[in-house]
Amino acid sequence: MTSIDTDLRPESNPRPLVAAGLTLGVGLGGFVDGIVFHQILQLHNMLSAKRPPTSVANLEINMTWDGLFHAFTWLTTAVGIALLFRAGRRPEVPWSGRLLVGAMLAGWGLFNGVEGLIDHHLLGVHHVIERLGPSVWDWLFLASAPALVGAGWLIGRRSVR
Amino acid sequence: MKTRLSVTIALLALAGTASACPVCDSERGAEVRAGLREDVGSVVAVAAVGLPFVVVAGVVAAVHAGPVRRKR
Repeated sequence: MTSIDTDLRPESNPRPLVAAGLTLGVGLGGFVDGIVFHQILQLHNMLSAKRPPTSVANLEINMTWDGLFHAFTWLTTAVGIALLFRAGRRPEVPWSGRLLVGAMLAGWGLFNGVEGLIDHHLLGVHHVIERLGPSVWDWLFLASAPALVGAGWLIGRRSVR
Repeated sequence: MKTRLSVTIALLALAGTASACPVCDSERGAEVRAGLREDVGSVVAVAAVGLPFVVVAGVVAAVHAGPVRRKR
């Protein structure tokens, strides 16, 4: 009896909302990096380890690469909004603000992990505080990834129980 | 009026010294274009900007396409 009832209920599918939240988190996390670290604090630029911004030409070259990075973060955010809109129209998707916020935090962590690993550690195109070169700040940036993913998971999991 | 005109002319004259943008028709603009071409050629810069987004797109696609939970 119970199993038949369960089978007749609509399937709950939080994945479209989680995917939208992750994408928005990646985009907005990228904007935090670009706006706070690249522009306001000017701790590094996209290629500042390869092209130190010590001349006008190198500043301009870094600015162009920073602009392309921001273009990708803008596109990612736009895709996240589209995914969120589509998720909102699906009846089987549980509409939960808590799940969305959790997924966005996890997306921010995903961005920090992947960007930190590729750009800071593998390619070495820039470091969190460029004047220090490779430093503990690069590892702290990387460590923020599991912290944000974990926080997002803790916040989001209560809504999908 | 005369002062305003002088300031405008001075600003326009100074603007020429800062023309280092990728599309600026100046010696420094050409230097910027050459640097960008060099970066694109080495692929590292392109990978640094694009690769993180390709990887996270793969992760998001995997999450989106994963198995569906049944409601209890």
